[in-house]
Amino acid sequence: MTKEYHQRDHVTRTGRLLYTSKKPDRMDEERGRERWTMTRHQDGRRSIMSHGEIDDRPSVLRFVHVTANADWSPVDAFVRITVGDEFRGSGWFRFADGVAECETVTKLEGRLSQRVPYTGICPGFGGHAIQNDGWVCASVDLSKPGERQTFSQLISSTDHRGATGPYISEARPTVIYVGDEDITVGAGSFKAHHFQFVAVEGLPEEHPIYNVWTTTDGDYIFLKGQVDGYMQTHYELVELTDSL
Amino acid sequence: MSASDPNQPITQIDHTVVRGVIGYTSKKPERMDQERGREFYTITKYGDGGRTIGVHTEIDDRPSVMRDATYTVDNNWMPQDCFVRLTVADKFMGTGWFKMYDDYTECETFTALEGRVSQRMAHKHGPLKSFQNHAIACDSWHFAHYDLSKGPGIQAVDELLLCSPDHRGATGPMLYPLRLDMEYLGDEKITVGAGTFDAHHFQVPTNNDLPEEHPPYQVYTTADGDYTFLKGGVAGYMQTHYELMEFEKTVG
Repeated sequence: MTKEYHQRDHVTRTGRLLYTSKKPDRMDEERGRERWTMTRHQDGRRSIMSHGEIDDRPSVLRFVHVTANADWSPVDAFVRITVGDEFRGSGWFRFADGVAECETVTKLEGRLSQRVPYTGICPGFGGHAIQNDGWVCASVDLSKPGERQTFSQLISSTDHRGATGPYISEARPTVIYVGDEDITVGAGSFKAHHFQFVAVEGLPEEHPIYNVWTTTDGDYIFLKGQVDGYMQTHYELVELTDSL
Repeated sequence: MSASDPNQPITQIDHTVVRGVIGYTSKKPERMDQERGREFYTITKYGDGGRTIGVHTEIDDRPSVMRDATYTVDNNWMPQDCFVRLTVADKFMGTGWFKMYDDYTECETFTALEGRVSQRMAHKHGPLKSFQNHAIACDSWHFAHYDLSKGPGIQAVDELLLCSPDHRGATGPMLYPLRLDMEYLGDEKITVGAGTFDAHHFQVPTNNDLPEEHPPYQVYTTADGDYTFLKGGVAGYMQTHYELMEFEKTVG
């Protein structure tokens, strides 16, 4: 029973994702993993804290923290990456008053301070955590199934694995909301929104088609995803807890 | 060999990962053993011995405190960088990033009370030895700077930087300097929720350098060189107890 000296106004959810390969010579081999904690506050703000590991050489380890307002506009973020088991970068991001700012130190670029202006509501932020990809889908208008929708995103790296920076770059994904489906993943069976990323402008290399399924409960929990083309990667939620 | 060497395995796992859960309970007579918070963490230890912890903390005592921190030390337990985000009473309090260099530490932060602040604090005693981000899991890391070869006694970290001088870490995050006394009381075998461990027993005596005096703080860490927090308790007005309830190696 909650006592008067206790205050728990938020909801906490935790999840674990498994990264596997769908290449014929590595079919279903584990190639990484991600563990995340999400908190949702009374006012609708959400934070995710994620620890991701990509084992494919050179390995990529990533700590990502993103907080978004109830309308999914970003508030602040942090990204720390290690590539090939060596420090690559650590950066802090803040989004307010028409400016996205970044304070970062990277192995290649050194200490950088960035100020990137934006107009209106700040575009969503992608820190390359797979769960964060689920949140990117919150920018898609669900009232337009089957239509190609293109919108702006701020991202911490233009590398497909997020293995550069971190610093602010801009991208314009084109996404189709395919519709809702019932799917089963390691963590259970869910009603899911199905999205398809068909193109991403702003990346130095073309990103293969990326199918993503998220929960329909408003939290956009990443349930399953698959990247085609040269990547042939699969991501799946294998554990989900709904409160601590 | 280069990373692209075809003779190397396609995967690279040079690091290890452990995850842990610390339970917070009260030892006040009217709340004896009641849960009052919790902490979930993941520690990555790199091939060179450095490590990064990502830790999510919840203190339920009103006003509640939620803190996410990501903190990195090198192979000598010297702080490299840290991110701290604070929510107090379910409202935003602050978000900040700390970067440590040989001669100084910088802080880029935005807080509900102070607004956007950039700090740069020169070190008075050489490279910074430890940083207090207020996660319980990291309280035990300070003691890696105690020279155990000298046996039980009191040694000090002449300069510790904190992200908050508040006892619950509920302000800022901004830089605050402090001297830290560490008392080593000896080794014991102890049992906590996560199992039975060989432990170092340390104590932080009463600290008068804070705006409010902090009561003595007992801390037990693993004796395996990783200084994993096993259990601890704060006396005085706080009467709080912290205990490792789950611990597992997930990678490596």
